[in-house]
Amino acid sequence: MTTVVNRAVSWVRDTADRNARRTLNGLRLVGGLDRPNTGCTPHVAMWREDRASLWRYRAGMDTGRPPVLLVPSLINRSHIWDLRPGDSFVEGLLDRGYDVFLIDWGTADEQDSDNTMSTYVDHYLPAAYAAATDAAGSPPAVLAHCFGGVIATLWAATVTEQPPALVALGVPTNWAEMGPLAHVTQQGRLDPEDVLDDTGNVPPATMLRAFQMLRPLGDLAGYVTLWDRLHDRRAAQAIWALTDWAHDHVPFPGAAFVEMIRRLSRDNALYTGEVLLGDRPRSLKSITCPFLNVYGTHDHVTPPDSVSPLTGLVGSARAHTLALQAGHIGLLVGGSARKHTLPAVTNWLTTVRSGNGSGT
Amino acid sequence: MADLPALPTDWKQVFFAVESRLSPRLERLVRTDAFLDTLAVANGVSRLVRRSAGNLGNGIVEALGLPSSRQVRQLQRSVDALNRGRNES
Repeated sequence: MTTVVNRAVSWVRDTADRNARRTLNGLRLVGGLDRPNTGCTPHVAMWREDRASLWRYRAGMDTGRPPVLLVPSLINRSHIWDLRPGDSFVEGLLDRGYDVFLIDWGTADEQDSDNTMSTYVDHYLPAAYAAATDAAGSPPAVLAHCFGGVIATLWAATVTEQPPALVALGVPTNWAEMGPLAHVTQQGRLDPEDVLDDTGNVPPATMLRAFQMLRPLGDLAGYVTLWDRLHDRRAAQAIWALTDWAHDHVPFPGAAFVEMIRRLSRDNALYTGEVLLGDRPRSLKSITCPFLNVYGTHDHVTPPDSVSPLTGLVGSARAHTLALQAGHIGLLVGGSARKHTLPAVTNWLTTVRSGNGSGT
Repeated sequence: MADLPALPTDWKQVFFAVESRLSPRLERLVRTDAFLDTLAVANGVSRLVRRSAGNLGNGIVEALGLPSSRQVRQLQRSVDALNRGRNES
């Protein structure tokens, strides 16, 4: 009887203690007193034009490794690459001795609504790449995620001077396999112009709803996980930082969106190997640099069947595919990024570099 | 009483058990033609309502002789175009 009473008292005490910590941490987070700092690895702005910027993170020592240019998607904040101390792709690269550059596309407004895909492929990305090359003294390898990967791939298909290496992470290629996000516009139910707002851009709320549609219970599951881990301050901060980022979309420039739907989704042009941008055909066979196509086997946004064909479309003699046990964002953050993506990508970059034998 | 320590996580286990069964069905549902048709119609209706309400609001404000958001936006576009032209030249 005493044992049973003791266990009951212990359970009540533990539960009360856990819920007190949950309440305290919850109030701190909601009240903004203990929100995780994001994007806080020290950096300097190297280049800026309109909304776009280029940030540089220094490794702090000359390891002889090539610089790396990170290209984020257009629809989210770039700090996903540098989410939190201890959970940052940038930090992982710096720890391995890479000099890191990150493009920040900024927040598109009415003035950016006329930006086409060509604006990013032929103007902003080449300008940022040139600025990074000047600053580092050698051309950087390019790592690009999601739609940033589409931009980087089309850029590499355009330029004669190839980057030392191109790593595409979760890049939508076969849009017939993109699920409901593409089906709703592919089959003519919606024209891309139908989702533009008064500023001429796709509003962030529309982007958010579209992604929520992919996993209807995803948000609810996230909040349940947050509640379950709320007693643990560090875990709660990690979940909060990722949830906050995932809900913080930026407007998608209207002209680029219309072009993306018409060319990439309806015509499935990337999958044909040739994309017409700004009246110039961009052939993926023109990509001759070492190429790594990385996808997450649990990716809901850009499913493996959509991403994996990219390797076979580029012209590089050294084109590889890497499947990792991760989701779309898990390629860049969390345990899967630390344990799988970072080691695999940096090992591949080292292999490519030693294969080149030129140190570029 | 012997099961007491397991209680706090039970509801979560129940939630994720339900979620793992329900999610695939919902994910299949959002891929159906019926759902996508409904989505397209809802989007069209909400655009129509928003545009009508905006036009009505702008009309009232303009009738009162005040600058409407439509006019401010047009003015802003003209200023942006002028600035772009000046930067390009």
